[in-house]
This record gives sequence, C-alpha cells and structure tokens, in this order.
Amino acid sequence: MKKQYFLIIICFFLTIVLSIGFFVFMDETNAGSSGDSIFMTVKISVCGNNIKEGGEHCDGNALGGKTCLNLGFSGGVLHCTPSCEFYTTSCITSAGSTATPIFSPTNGGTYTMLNANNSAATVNLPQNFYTDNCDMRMQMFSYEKTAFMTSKPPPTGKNFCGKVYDFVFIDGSGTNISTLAKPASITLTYTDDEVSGFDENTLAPYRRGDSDSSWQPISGAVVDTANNTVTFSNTNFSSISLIGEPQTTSPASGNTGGGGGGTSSLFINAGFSGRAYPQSIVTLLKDGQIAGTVLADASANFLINLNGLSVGSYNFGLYATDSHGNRSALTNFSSSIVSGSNNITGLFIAPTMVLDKSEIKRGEVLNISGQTAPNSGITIIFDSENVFSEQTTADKNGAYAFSFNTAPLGVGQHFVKGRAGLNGATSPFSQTQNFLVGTKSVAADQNNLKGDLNGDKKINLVDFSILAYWYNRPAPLASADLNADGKVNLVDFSIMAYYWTG
Amino acid sequence: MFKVKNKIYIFIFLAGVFLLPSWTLAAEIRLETKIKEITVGETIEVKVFLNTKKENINAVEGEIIFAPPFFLKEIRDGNSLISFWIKRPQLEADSKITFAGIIPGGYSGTGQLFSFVGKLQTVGTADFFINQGKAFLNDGLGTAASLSVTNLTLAVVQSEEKTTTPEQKIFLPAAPDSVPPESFLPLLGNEPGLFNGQWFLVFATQDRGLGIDHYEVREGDDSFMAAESPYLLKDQKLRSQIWVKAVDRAGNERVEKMTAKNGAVWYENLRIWGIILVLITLMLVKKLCLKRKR
Repeated sequence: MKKQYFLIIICFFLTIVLSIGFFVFMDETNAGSSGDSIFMTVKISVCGNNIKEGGEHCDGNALGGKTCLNLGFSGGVLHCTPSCEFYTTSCITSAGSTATPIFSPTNGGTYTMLNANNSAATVNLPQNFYTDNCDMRMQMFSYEKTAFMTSKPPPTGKNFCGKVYDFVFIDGSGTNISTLAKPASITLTYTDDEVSGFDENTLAPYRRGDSDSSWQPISGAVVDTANNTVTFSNTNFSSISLIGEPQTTSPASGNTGGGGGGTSSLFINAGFSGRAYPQSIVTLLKDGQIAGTVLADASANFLINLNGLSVGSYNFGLYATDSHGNRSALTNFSSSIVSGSNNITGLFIAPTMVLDKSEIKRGEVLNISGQTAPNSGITIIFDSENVFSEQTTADKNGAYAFSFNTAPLGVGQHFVKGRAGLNGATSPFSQTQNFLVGTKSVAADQNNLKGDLNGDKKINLVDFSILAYWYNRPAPLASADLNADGKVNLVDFSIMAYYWTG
Repeated sequence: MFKVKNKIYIFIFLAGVFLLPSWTLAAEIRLETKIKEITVGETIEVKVFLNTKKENINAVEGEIIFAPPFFLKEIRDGNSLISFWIKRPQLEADSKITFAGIIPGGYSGTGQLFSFVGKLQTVGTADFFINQGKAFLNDGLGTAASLSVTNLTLAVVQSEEKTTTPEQKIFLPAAPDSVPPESFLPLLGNEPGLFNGQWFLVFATQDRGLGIDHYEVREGDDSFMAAESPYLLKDQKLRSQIWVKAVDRAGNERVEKMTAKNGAVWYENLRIWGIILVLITLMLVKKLCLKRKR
C-alpha cells in the first residue's frame, strides 16, 4: 500500500516537471506549419530574458519605462531584482519612513507603518480589493509635514497634524494603480505631541492627488480622541494626512512642552526659502539638530516651514545633498523669531565640490566637480602660494565640472573652494577641499567623512559625545584625534563643527 | 608751526595706537555690566559676549577669573550662541568660571555666550579677567582665530558712597519664563571607545529663557532619574521605550520619547502565546480523537 502511494506521488511530480519543461521550451516560439495546421503564438513570461512581460515589474534593464519617480520616490536609479521585481534601494526619498508591503488582491491583508514617534498608519485591504490575481505592491512613505509645505501646502488656517503619507500601488505588471475595486480601511494614529495645539474636534483625513489643486476632505471618518485614531475608507490613493485647526484657547497646562509647547509656540512658524540644486535634499538644522528636510524642485527652489518655535534668537543651519550624495558646506545664520509668521528668504546654499584626487602628480589634471543651482556661474578659488581663481558655469541641472592643470602649482598642500553666483546673488563657499601636489597621483576617498567617529555617515551629537569623552584625556582614541596631534582639544571640536550634519 | 606739526603727528600716533586694535579682525570675548560702580552686597549680572569681527567662529573656550571672591548666585546659559557645550559654564574652585562649546556651521556677529549673577562683599576694585580664551575658525582645519579680550573692572563702594542714581538698575531679575526647552532628538550611540562598547544615549537642547537646569531619563517602567549626556543605558538589549525630560531653570519641561529599538522579545508578545495555546489545544484534541478511535 505504501509503495502505491509513493508511486502516485512520484508520477505527480514528474507530470509537473514535464509540464514546466514543455512550457519553458515553448517560450516565444512561433508554432507555425503549412497546410491545415493552426498557427498559434505561445507567449509565456520568462524572468531573466531581459524582456519585460506580463506578470513582471521589469526584467533586467527592461524597466517598462518606469523610474523611481513612478514609485513615489524623488529620484535615484531604479533597478530590477533577479525575480523581476522593482528594486528601489538606489532610489532617493526625503521620507522619514518607507515600507513596501505586498498584498494578494484575492486575500487582501493589513499592514501597519509605525513611525519613530509612535504615530502609525494602518491599511486594511479587503478580499478582492483589485481585479488581478498577481500580487500587488504598495509603496508607503511617511513624511514630516515640512516636506509638503511647498508642494502641497495645507488649506488656509489649517495645518497638518502629524505625518503626511504617500501611497503608491503597483500591480503585478508594474503598472501604477490609483483606484482600487473595493475601498481600503485606513487608520491613522497620532500622538499627543502631534495634536498639541490643535482643536482635536476639527481633525479630519484629507486626500490630495498629484494633479489636484487642493486637499479634499475624506468623508465618513471616525475620530477617536480617546485613542488618538482616525479611521476612514478610501478607494483613491496618493497623499493622505490628518489636517486640523489650531486651538483658540490656551491649553490648561502652561509649562509642559511635551514636544509641542503651547498654542502660542506651535503656531509661531518660520519659512525658509531659497536656492539649492535641482531635486536635492535640503536639510535645516535648528541649534545644530535636524529640524526638517525638504526636496528642492527641478529649478532648485526650496521652502521649509518650521512650526513650534519660540520667540527669541535661533541659530539655523542649511545644507543640501546633491544627486551624487555629496553634501554642501553647512551654512549658518542667526534669526530673531517673532510672534506669528517669519519668512527668511533668498537663501543660496553653497555648491558641493568634489576632487577626483587627494594627491596629484605635478602637471596632471585635477578634476573638480559638483552641483549648484542651474546655470550658475562658479568661481573656483585656489589657495596656494598665491591665491587665484578660475571660472566655469553649471549646466541646466546645476552640474559643473572643471579640469585644472596642476603644472603651475608648487609641490605641497593646496586648498580649493568655490562659490556660485546667479542673478546678482552669491552663495557661501563650498567646503574647502585640499590636495597634495607631489610625485604620484592618488584617487580621493569620497567616503571619508571627517568627524564621523561612529561610522554612521552622520556627524552629530553621538560623535560629539564620543569626542567630548576624549576631551583633554591622555592617549585618546586615534579616530577622535581629528588633526592627529596626539590630543583631543578644542581644535578637534572645531573640525567636527565644520563637517557637522546634525 | 613746528609745534603744531608735532602735535598732529602725536595725535595721529596716539589715534593709531588706540584705534588699531579695533581695526584688526581679531574676534573678541567681552565682559559687560550695565554700570561700573556697585555697592557691597548688591546683585549684579555680568554678560559674556562673543564678537566675531566678521570672522566665522565655530568653537570657543575660556575661563573667567574673579578677584576678589565673587559670590556666585547663578549662571544663565539660556538663548546662548553655543549649540553644544563641551564644558558647560561652571564655577571651579570658587574662583573662576570655565566654559567651552561649539557652534556647528559657525557664527558671524555679536552674541551672548552666557551670563553670571552674584555679588561682591569687599569694598574696593573688583576685576573679572578672561583667561585662556581661545576661538577657532569654521574652516575645517581647526585654525585658531586671532582673539582679543575685554575684561571688566568694577568699583565696589558702601551704599552711602554710591554715586549712581537709584534709577540705574544694575540687575534686573529674569523675566517670567513659561516657555519650555526646545524640542530635541535623543540619539542612541555605540562606540568601542566609550562605555566599553555598550549602548548609550545622547541628548541636548536649548532653552530660550533662563537655560537648561537638568535632564532626566526614564527607561521602560522605571521612573525618571536625573541624568547627563552621554547616558549609559540600563537596558542594553534596547527593548525598552526611553523618555528624556529637559527641565529649564523655571521648571518648564520638555519630554521626548524614543521607541524601543529592538522592541519586545517574542515571549513578551501575547499573540505568540495565543498561537502556542491554540496549537497545544489542537494537538490535545487530536490526541483525544485518536484515543477514542482506538
């Protein structure tokens, strides 16, 4: 009896293997013959043939015309996995959190995106939410409200309460889906800090598509102020957020910040606008800590809105990260914030600057490149035995490149920095780069971030604390001794402060 | 004629001697009070300013020495230019205040570093000297800025001898401060050279009023405990939520929360216990059914 079962199982698997083999062999073969035979074309998706077919997002380099932008990212390079699905690791976004849950349209499912501050968005998709059998990919992005102040500002007199979410649905063939067959149930959870200063009774979910001119309220929402949740149904996806109105009376507890401060503080805001580089990520620091990031538009313009400020003097800092991931110099400015709205305009972020060599054989060409606002003039200043400058111009994407013959330079250390000029406005200087003119050429290490003591590609309070630990101590950690003079003192802190990223 | 010429030369020479320092681009640390004559026991506030003189300065340190002893009441570092203190202004050996801090990205202009409040009990002259003052340019190379200092000398007299009119208030109590410290982002760190590679927490914020008084940290179900940055975490498995409270000198608080990096372990998840319970029940039911069949 057992033998019979065994034979049946073997036969079953054999049949499956033979069937698969048959179909693979028949891939893209034109079955044609003469006479009274039926002409037919059998076409089956084969992942790995570099041809994007049905049921595949992509195949090799065949991406079906899709880019990172189609998947909700702000830029970068889209790739394809060996299993013919979109691979977005090299895509760029300024979102605080991203997620890519996969759903079966037949079975539906639930996914919760939890943000670092404990706010969350839960999407519950019912069975048969879409008329397709292939798995559906949902790209989910969670942004700080500042990221939307320029591109999709909230309605007048209202403000985003908590995060702003972007949803992008991709079907099994890589097509963007904006409307589902059945509505999804969405629950947005907000924190006490986020709702501080809002009239909680005015909270409502809003939706805004890319082609919409304003935010539209989503009707039928249930606001649970006890549990800080808002639940609603939605069929059309794009940007979704909770939007509310400010409290008209002061909160009872006047002296506890809890993340938001009182009403007066929450609605003291400041707008920071100016020029960076096209599609670059612009970061605003407040007292050395990241206060907001935003994506510059294609013309390099940016606007960052900051809420929850107090009346007083602030040190703000700005830097941008270009399309190659290089960071500009941090430019600081002091502002006295007054009650109400404050606008700080005309900010011009310093260009990025990268050298291709850290050491160069005298007479060879040093390549200098970077990014700034489109069509800006770039002044490159060499600080050598004599100070002299060269000029070049950025292209329509803000990219510039300059080749410099080092023959006139003497052997030794040299410094170079640059600044951009456009329509009478001048940017601050880029980070100062140094190079050694000698007898050999050495490629520059673009990954070397001075002051990044814990190797997380950021120079912030963690690195500061490590350095502070070694301050004036004997035999300090070699990596903490930034100028390699055998001690950690204020000089090392000054170097760290220059390269600070927050 | 000759005498007149000589006088002109002398005037130009003296003007040069006195005005030259202000023409140079040396950054300056300056001590200031509202007036220069105080009475014994009168409370005064001395402000410490940094004037960068068109330079971009990102690090500054120094010490302020008193002679005779100054009875320090408080140090106010609210609304300071300094973003991160390496050495928060503090009294050392009852005779000096030391300080060191940085301004990421640098600063150009004139602004207050901090102020200190106290009184003098000895009649005579009181001197406040800036010693070991250093400032560095924001150039990525750690270049020392040329630095000048402006010290402070006060005349301390008995009250009946005071020539200042009573209207000239020399010390104004701080305005009521109801604004909590600024929002901030505590960060986790892990570095072999610090705390033997154990996880630590760092935090810092600014206060626009009187300044930060202290910080408190709470891990999981524990209560808030006074803490300093960097703070060695008790929960090295990072499964607890962390709260950091910044309290300013007026008692206003700002609390920031960090979610647990690693979350709860599986046996703390009730859902998993539910699944295990269901599986055990199913196995028992199956066993019972098999027994009945036999």
